[in-house]
Amino acid sequence: MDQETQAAYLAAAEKLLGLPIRPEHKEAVQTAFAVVCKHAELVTSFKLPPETEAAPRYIP
Amino acid sequence: MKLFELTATGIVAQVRAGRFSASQVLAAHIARIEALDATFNCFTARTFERARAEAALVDAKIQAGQEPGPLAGVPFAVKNLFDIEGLPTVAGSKIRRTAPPPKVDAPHIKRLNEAGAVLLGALNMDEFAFGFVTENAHDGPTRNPHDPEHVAGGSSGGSVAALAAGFCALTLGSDTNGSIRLPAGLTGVYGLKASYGRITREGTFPFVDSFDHIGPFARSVADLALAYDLLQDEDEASPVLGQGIDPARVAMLDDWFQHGASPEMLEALHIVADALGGTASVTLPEAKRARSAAFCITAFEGGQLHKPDLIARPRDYDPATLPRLLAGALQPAQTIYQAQRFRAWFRQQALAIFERYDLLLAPATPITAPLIGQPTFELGGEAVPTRANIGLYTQPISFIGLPVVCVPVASAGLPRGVQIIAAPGREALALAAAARLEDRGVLSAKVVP
Repeated sequence: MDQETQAAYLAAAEKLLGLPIRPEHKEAVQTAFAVVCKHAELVTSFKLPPETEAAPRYIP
Repeated sequence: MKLFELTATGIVAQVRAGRFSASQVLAAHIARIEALDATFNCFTARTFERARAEAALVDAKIQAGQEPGPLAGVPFAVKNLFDIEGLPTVAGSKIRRTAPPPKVDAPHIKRLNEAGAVLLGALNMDEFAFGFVTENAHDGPTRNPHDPEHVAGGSSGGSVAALAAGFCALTLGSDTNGSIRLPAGLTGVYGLKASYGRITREGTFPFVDSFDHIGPFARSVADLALAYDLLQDEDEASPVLGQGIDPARVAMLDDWFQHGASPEMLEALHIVADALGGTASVTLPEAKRARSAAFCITAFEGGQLHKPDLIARPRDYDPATLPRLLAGALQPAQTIYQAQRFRAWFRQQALAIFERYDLLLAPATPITAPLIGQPTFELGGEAVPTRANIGLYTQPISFIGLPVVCVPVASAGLPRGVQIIAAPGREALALAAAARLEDRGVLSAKVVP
């Protein structure tokens, strides 16, 4: 995700999730989100076997 | 040896034998705190009056011929995310200073009190445990007793510095991504992160439900094992420090867990491996990706937990915490779902390695304690941000909840910690390995200055 796409995503997500970012915090949040995106890319690009379940399981 | 230099078990022996009273031991520790905590900044709240009453109770029991408990007269303190009756559980924040004070202590405090230990207060930490340096914007930095220009590590920085400085003989902390092992390593004390779920989290302020662990710090293996046994509930998990270690089943983790490590940290790793007779190396595959997955889940769960205050009171957060919580909370769901699936896969890789080995070794940190405010350090020839990268070797391990004892390897310079990692539920074996290393004289947890 390039910088422009990240900024557009954040602008949409803060509205969608009801979590506004104040103007004075925007730059720091964008920097932090760029770091998150790098880590996320590493995670989502890994091909997992289809039978792998998410770690937390609901136990009735 | 001065009273504040005694280990917890050393204090118990003196108090039970009547050589010193619990009140005398307490007075020596209070004097030490009053003389030096202005420099090291460990305590955020002091409970000295309560401690005096608790010490008097221990002394009264001894005088009456009653059993004073296995921690009789041991001064201890806790990271300020543990509930202490009557004090707000601030968790390193400004936001929680006005939270209603809990009406009861966390169960960990209750258990240590019942064992005869004496509570001295609450200790500094990174805000909401989201950090590795304890450079807290509200309470100031905790300084490393080995050199106050350097960090004590975090997020349990006050807990380790208070031990290294001789303010307490036992402390408690928490570990989500390394916050027990990393600061223990940087200040030359022992730390235990038990298996995920082994020690209750009741009565502590949460950070990341998926990864949060509670654990003790000490200046000897016997102290660490005793505290652990008091905090955990399963008979079969009790430590037996004399149990055998098979050298053929000890291996050093290579690849990610050695990449970029400084020569002195690699030397510490080899000192531990040699003393345990472990000559093998093994790769835990995809550890870099595991660290990334831990990073994403941490920021997401932490951010979601704080969402109401991120909306209502963003300016009251530490500037180092706020952007990471906001960015984390806004992540797409696919990242978190895939990260939790990857977590299950990575766990299987670790369990396969434990079919061949009982204990895995890795440095606690790539470098010794950085300077306070140091923006970057050199990792494999590249300058990388300090706060984001000093936990490289701890994050993949807490990600899958493995038990770890961090041991302080004797050093001429700043302290060096090595992680002794065991299979889930095998804390006792990691403690036994630490005891063997202690016996062989390769470890050092001394009070400074």
